[in-house]
Order: sequence, then C-alpha cells, then structure tokens
Amino acid sequence: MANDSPGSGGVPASTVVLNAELRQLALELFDQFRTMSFDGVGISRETYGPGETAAMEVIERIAARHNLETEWDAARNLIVRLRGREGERPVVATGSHLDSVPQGGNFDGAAGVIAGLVSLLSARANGPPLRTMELFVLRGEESAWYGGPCYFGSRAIFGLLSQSDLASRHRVSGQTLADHMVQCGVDLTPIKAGRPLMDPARFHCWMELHIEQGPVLIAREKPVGFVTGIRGNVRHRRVVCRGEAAHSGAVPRWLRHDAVLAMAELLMRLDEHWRVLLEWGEDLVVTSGIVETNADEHAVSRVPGEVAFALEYRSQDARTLTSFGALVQSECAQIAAKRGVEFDLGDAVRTEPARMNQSLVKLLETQAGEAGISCEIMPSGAGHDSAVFANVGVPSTMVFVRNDKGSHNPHEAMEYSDFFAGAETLLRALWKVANQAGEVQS
Amino acid sequence: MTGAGRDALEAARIVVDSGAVYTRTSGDPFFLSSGWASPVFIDVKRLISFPEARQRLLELALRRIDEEFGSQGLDQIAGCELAGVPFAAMVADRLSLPLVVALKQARGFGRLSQFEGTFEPGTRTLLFDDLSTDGHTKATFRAALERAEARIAGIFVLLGYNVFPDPPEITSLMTLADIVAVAERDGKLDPGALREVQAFTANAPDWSRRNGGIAKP
Ligand SMILES: [Zn+2]
Repeated sequence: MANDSPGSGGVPASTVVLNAELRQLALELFDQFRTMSFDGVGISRETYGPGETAAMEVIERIAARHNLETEWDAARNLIVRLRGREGERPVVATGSHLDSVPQGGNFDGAAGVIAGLVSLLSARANGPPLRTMELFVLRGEESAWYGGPCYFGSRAIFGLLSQSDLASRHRVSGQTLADHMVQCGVDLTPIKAGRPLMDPARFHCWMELHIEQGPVLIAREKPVGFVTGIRGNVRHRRVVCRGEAAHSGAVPRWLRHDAVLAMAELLMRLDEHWRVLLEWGEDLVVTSGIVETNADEHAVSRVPGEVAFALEYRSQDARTLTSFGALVQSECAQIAAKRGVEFDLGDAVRTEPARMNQSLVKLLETQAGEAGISCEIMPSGAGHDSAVFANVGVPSTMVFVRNDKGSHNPHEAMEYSDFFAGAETLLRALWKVANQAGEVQS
Repeated sequence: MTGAGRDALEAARIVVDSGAVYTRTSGDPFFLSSGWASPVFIDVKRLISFPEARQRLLELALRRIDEEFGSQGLDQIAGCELAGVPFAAMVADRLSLPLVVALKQARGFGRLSQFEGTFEPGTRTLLFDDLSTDGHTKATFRAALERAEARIAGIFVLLGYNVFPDPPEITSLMTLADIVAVAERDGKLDPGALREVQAFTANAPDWSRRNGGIAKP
C-alpha cells in the first residue's frame, strides 16, 4: 500500500466509525429508495430515466444539507465531494450506480452509493483528509434497458461510449439511449466526440461497495468479500440463424434447413465445450437469454426458416473469451455446412476482464481484520462499473456484501449488519488512503 | 499389504508417471460436471496413447476383475462412451467375450437404443469405464443396462475417486487415495498442491463448498 509519509497526519482509521446517527441515515435512505421506486413487484429505476434522477437528487439534497460539494458532470453523473487539505492531489473515489433492472432489488447499486455517502459524512466529521474524497453516483450501469450494452455513466466519464451504444434502443419506449440522455439533461457534444470528461490520472484510487450477486459469501459464511478481478464478457445481442421455411408435413428430414434445430445444435455443442473447459479449470459462463422465432410467420406446422437469439459468455481471462469466440465461429461454420443454414453473429460487444489492485485488496483485508470483521478474497462473476475504472488504469477494487437471493430480482436479501460491516471497512480504507501521500502500489 | 492393495499402488504409479495428474491450487479449481469443485483432475484416458503403460494397466485390471467377479461368470463387457470403450475393447478381447458400447444417451426407440452392438436379455454384463468421480454417469449407464434387460454383474473402473457421499457400488482398480499416496511417496506434487489434494480426499464436500462448488449431491 501507499507509504505513510511524514506529515500525512489525520485521525487514525480506527477512530473513524459509522456512528448511530449515520447508520440511521443509511437505513432511512434504503427505505426512502424502496418507497420511491417500488413498481408493485420490485424496484424499477430506469437507466437514464426519471426514477434514477429522483434517487440521485435525494443524495444531492442530503449531501448539500451536510455542506458537501455537489456537481453534475456532462453525462449527468452526480459527484459529491469532501475537499481535502491538499485538493490538487489525485482524489480518492468511491461510488456505485442508482439504476436497477426492471423489477429488481433495492440494494443492487444503492448499497454502494449509500455506503459512500455515509463514509464521506463520517470523514467530514473527522476533519478534512489530506486528499479530496469523492462519491460518484453513477448512471446507467445495467444492461437490461438497452438490450446489452451497459456502464454508460462510467464509460461516458472516460470518453468510451460508442455510436452504437448511443443508438441502442430502449426496451419499451423504442427511443435511443441518446434521446433518453438528452431528456435527462446530458450534453452529448463531448460524449459523441468520445472526449473524456475526466482524466484517469485525477483518480488516486477507486473502491466500490456492492452486494454480491453470486452465492460465494453465503456458502463461506462471511459477511464481506474483497474482489480480485471482474469477469469480462462478449455479448452478441442478436444472432440470426437463417434456414428455409417449409411445410412441416410434406418436407422430409433430409431436405430441411431448420433454423431452430441448427440453433439448438449450436447451443448444445457450446454447452459441451463449456463442460469440458470447466473440467480443465477454465473460468467461463455461457448464456442464451433471448430466443425468438418471427411471430409474423412462425406456426406450429411450419419448419422455422429463421430464429434470432442472444449469446453471451463471460470469463476472468481475456484469452478464454477470445478462444471461446473462435470456437463459436467454427461451430457455426460446421453446423451451417451440415444443415444448409447460415449464422449471422451480428455485432459483438466486448467488455474486457478487469484486474483489481492487489494492494488495495490487502488494505481492505487489514482494515477488516482490525475491525474484527471476517472476510473472503474472491473474484467477481458479475460485471461492475469498477471494471471501467480499472481498465482505464485507476487502481481499483470492490467490497462485496453477502446477499442471499442473488440480485436482479426483488428477493435479494442483504442483512443490514453485513452492510454495515462492509461500509465500515470501506470507510476505514478510504480514510486511510485519503490521508496517505504516497502512490498506490500495483 | 494385500495383492489388490499392491496392484492399486502399481496402477496409481502408472497413472502418475504418465503425467495424467493435474492440480490447481490458485485461481479457479476444476469443476466436475455435477458441480463439485476439485483441486485435482486425472486424465486417465490419455493412457491409451502409451502402449506399455496401457498393457500393464490392463493386466492389473484383468487380475482384479477375475478376483472380484470371476471371469468365467461374465457373458459380455459393456464399455461406457467415450473413454471406457477402448479399455473395454481390450478387456473383452483378452477374455474373448462379446463387447457392447453403452451410449450416454439413447438414440431412437427399442430395448437396445442406448447401445452399439447387440445382446440378449439376461446377459451377464460387466460395465467398464476409465474413471468414476461421483458415480453420477455410472447410474445412467446402469439404468440403460436395466432397460435393456441385462443382468448386471458389476461396474468396474480403472480409477474411482471414492471421496463423495452416497457412492454407488463400483469396483475400482485404484482410488484417488492411491494416487495421492504414490504422488506423495515419489515427490510428484509440490507441498502446497499435496496439502490441498489431501484436504480434498479427506473431506471432498467441504473442500468443494469452500472453493465455490456444490456442498452436497
Ligand atoms: Zn449493480
């Protein structure tokens, strides 16, 4: 970790705590978000939508009431700031997102924003740290609303949104992401030009608290985990398999070019590759979450001439993503030749796997140890904004909080005691780095 | 030490010396298809590429089969698709017995839809495979034999993990414990890997649970 340099000063991390008042504030915020965003089944805060904005404004008001600076960037991310004694130094940043999937849970994203807010408030009460501390309330992390691409808010910060991202269509309104961004007050000029809103070098480090979206912490009976890496992914939003429509009674097997059977064969072959790759210790998950025959022409008695489906695979290893991509191509070619169909894989969106900063992980581990909190060191299967920060070179890591029912559903079950264990560890680590003059080691 | 115990260690040494033992102690473990996480993966089937090792393994297997089942009491050998087939073919050839291939999935209809080759109901059959981890797939093959009205004389594998709960009744030439014993004695695993593999053999469900796999079947 950073070297303690003479004069770094500040209150030691052990005395910076989440007091009863801050804990109460966190609980009230969770309640308020739940009430604001309940859709009858779960929580819905659309990416670049009014519910997301409203939740962000709640954070803005509380921050302002406690004399923290607030600022909206050109992509309408909210930044809450506690000025450090030496404000020109690279900043210590935390945060998460406030959008949710449709009928999602209340903790996904919000937990990290609330933990960051109470951390800044606690830090403020201890006098200004050496470095400026910032909370990023990010927009548009979820992929559910625009059919695949995601991390819009964080990627906009680093000038990484593509024309194809901006042209993605909303699942309900049919309008583009660019349209919805403008409705939220975004200035598209720098974003369309791919101009970064911030220089990665202005960040000393980034730490995000998030609920765990897998079962590891539950299985290992640990309240919190610290993340060593984040899976990257390749997403084909729409693969189209084209064969030939035919009468289901009149055409014999050997004359058919059945698009659905070809797709099914492809998916089963990929599943078999996946099984073998796991046996060999590769990290991989494969999903086809959307499958559709064309409703205008499909029928019980018609051999399907066309089927469209989504294909997504994730891995912590960039080489595995590339190799699996090659496998997909070659299987498509083989099946196409054998069955007389064609596969159009369409556009693929690739997010690189991200390595988290080992010395930040160590720091979190030490802070948890000193606070008597037991923890796990683990990779993240799900993607997060932290991957964007890490991949532009900001030393980054994440704090995971145990959560029982997965996420992206209304049943996610985080115990508040686990949340506070995570938030307290985050706070201590943020405070520690915010008062260190040295660089973060890799 | 019994003859079977000595043969098990000799077989294990053949497997270890052929380079078929892989371990993973950092990063992702190996995952068996049923979801168990494991620090060790043993690629028994690669032994078909080594004629001398393969022949010696075959001798040992034949001796064990004769002790356990009495070769005279068998009517045929059924090899499990895929890696069980070459070994089963060699065994059937040595014993001059008929051979069938048991498929992972049935194809079409009929009593023999899950087999290549043919046999009559009541045929005393030894099911043969290279490897059994949790015995999951053996249960599928056993059910196929039952549907085909075979009499099941037994199930024989070259290597049985023998570390998971509720194991089906399987005779194995060697177990994972034999492999570990040989690898330890011959210094074929580094101390860290050996420790993890020993922890796995001592309590596989617990090791699996702690490493992201399932904890019970
Ligand atoms: Zn999230």
